[in-house]
Amino acid sequence: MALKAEAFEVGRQLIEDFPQDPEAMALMASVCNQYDQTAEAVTWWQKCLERNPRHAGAYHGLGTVALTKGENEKAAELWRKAQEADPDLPGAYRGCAVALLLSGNPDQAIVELEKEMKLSPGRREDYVLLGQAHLQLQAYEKAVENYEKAIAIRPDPTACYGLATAYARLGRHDKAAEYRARFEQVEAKQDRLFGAGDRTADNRAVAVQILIRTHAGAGRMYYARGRLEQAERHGRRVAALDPKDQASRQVLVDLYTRAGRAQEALEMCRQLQEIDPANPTYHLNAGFVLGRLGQFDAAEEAVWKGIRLAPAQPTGYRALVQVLLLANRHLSQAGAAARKLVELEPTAGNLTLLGEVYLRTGDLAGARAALKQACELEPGNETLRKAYERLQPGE
Amino acid sequence: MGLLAVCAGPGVAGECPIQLRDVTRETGITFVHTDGSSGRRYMFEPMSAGVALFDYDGDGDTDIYFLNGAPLKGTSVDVPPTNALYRNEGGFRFTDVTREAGVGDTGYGLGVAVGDYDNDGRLDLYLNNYGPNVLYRNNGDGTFTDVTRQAGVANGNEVGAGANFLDIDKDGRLDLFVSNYIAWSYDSHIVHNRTGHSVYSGPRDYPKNRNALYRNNGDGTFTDVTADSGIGAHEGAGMGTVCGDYDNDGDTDIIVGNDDWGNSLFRNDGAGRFDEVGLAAGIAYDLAGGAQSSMGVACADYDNDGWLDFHVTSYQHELATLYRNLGNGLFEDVTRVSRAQAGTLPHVTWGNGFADFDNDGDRDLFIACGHLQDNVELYDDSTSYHARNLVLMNTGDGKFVNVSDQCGDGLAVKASSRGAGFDDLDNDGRIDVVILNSRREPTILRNESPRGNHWIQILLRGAKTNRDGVGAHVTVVAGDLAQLDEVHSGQGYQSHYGLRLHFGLGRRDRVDRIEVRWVGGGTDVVENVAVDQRLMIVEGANPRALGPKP
Repeated sequence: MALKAEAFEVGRQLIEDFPQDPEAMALMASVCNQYDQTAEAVTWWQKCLERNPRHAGAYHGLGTVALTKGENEKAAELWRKAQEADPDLPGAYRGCAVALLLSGNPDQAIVELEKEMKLSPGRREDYVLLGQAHLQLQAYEKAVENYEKAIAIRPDPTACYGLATAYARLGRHDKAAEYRARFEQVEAKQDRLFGAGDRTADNRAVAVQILIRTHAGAGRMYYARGRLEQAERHGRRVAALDPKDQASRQVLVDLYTRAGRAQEALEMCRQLQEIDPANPTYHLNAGFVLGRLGQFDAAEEAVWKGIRLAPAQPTGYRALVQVLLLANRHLSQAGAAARKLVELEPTAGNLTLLGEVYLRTGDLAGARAALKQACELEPGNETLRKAYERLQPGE
Repeated sequence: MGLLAVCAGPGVAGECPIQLRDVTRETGITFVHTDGSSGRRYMFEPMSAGVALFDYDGDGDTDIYFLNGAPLKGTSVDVPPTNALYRNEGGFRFTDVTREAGVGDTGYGLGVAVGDYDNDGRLDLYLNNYGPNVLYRNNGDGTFTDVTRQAGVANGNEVGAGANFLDIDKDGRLDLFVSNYIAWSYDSHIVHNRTGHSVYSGPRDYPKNRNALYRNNGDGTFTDVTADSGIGAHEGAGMGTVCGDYDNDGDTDIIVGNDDWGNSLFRNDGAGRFDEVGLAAGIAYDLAGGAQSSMGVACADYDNDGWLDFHVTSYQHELATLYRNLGNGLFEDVTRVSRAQAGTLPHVTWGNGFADFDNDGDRDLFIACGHLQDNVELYDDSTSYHARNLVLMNTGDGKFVNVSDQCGDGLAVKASSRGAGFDDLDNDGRIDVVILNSRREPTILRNESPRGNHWIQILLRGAKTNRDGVGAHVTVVAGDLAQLDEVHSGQGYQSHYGLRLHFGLGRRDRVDRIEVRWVGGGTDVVENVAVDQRLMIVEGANPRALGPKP
């Protein structure tokens, strides 16, 4: 109950702080909808659309409510409006497809799903839905094809069941039996995971997830509108609610770094490194922050960890160059890293960084050559041109 | 075909061909259901109960038996509620004869089946309760005797659900299938909390249970063959059940809707041994492989292809599901493509039945609705405890259209409906509806659909096979229309209806052929039969007209 009240309080505060802002209304609508207060959710989304008639998220939300109420045709129409407002909105084509499937139009659902898959290819649930659509159209070979793609990503009961069904219809009884057995295995595993009583929506985990989404959304809103204190508060709440949440911690790293609060940024970096030690970005971020704090040995160590995790990515070499320039040491190593960086990603920015290393080591010709190349890549960049001119003899 | 076109069928132009009027107040029925609740939220309270429609006194019209709850631990009442039997006096008037008939069981009624287990020509009554079950033997003089103990069918102290009489081994005697819900006790009882609101727990909170099967010994006693028959090898959370010959092999199979577990399909080997084949047959789970919270199970050949199809009601956010029989041992979930999903998603759906309300030659669907949680509106405004029921009209092309808003004030009633039964209460050739509503009076719907289409009703009388032809397949051919039906004892949501078969015939004014395939017997054929009559077909003998046109 307290979690629900907190989520609504976040929404209420957002509305108070940004009374005319459609994003605040959309967030409030989302809170209401997640707590099954659909009438109030619809009211907020409609208000949102009054302010911004092309708010794709509001149409998306209204589509969800319509679907919940079994108003499938209306839901499909709302998702089509969402698509018009934002053709790149993730899930809008999928939502429409689900509504069309539920209303008995699998052929139209396939068209929508194909659009969704162009937008975000390789999602398991889209293959499953395609499988279902083809199954209903009695296109069993195509159903098999899509279900197979789904379980190649991750075996789930729906896809296994779909395959068992499609193979049975095709008369391939051995394959049907094989997938029935797999279905039973996966289903049994899910039953164990859920356990007694946990399938009801009243469990705390669901309420916590809603609250996390609410705080995260509010944090993003405040951050985008320059209200950093509130953004930080929401980010910290998300981090406290979910010890594994990475998005909120990344925002906090960014926020603290911009605010010059390097120690707090470092703490967030350390948490991210612990949560996902295989993510090179977190080590590179930590290296950058450590450099700001003057802890150059630790900074270099963190950056090298990042490079070792993704040796073909330019970001690690860029971070190393930056840290070494900041430390003003190991400049030959910085030069090698900068050259590797340019080799991997020959952009004007990276060439400028290489030029900076050359300058620090007194290689003026090298710096000139790097800047010249950068100017050629971005001929309209005045800042670059002036920097290059300053390196000319006599300047 | 669009809705407007569909609703411009026979009768008043633009009026929906199905018209159901709420006549509850005119019937004299005063029964009020109680679930025995005291606020403790014992998990089976909201399951409420079923209803039975059968002719207990053999006078040719259909009487009504309502199940009732009973006080549960923590509830005290001065006068315990009882089940109620209402005798049909004709003209939609009913008289409470519970006391004189001796069927006022005070147990916690959940499911009911009717069948003539002793083949004496009188319909007996089996009650599936929470606690000991009851078998009432019909004495033939308007009274019943509780013969549970001597028959040996009390079935322990389970939480009951549906029940069915069926002849498992084709010996001409009706055996008894008893669906059991979960293994519940006061000690294991729990309550959930939903955003600060106390709510009923679900079937997954308790161990599954196995169903029971009793073989009729022919001497008034039964033998528990749960283990020997194979039925006991499978557990679930049984709710509604129906027995039907899904594979057309001449014996009766059993379909059990399981709440939140895959449905069970027990295939009969013809000798009373069963294999569970629900998953392989494609009826255990919905299209997406989801185990639904199955409630009621109804059976009919909705697409007139000669194979029995099944309809299963379910929980909110699930579609009440239509399984089409493909005729090769497999079922296809055609809920979406047939549009049989219309209106079901936001509701908990319970009682169900196929009935040709407009006598146009295909069976429509009736679905009883109402949420299980009596406080659901406090935390979810997308549904409601009291809800309107649904009528999905069969458009004859394998599809349904939701005509609930167009088919009369009977569908405007908002209640929390559970069991539903379908029969021609006034013998006018149109199928009426009886609905048991949780915690309140029932709803009686009189079918006032425009006349014009023809029909025939068939009652079977077994000689060598069981007395009422339970399990028999009846095929009626009229011109280009061939329809199949089967005599059922117990179906829908823990209810009983359907001993008298009803066939709508559209404009066809002659029945060319009626074929009856008896369970464990031969086949009888009757040809060139007049329409708009009730006909009794006696096994191996000439048919007998039961009544003139109403």
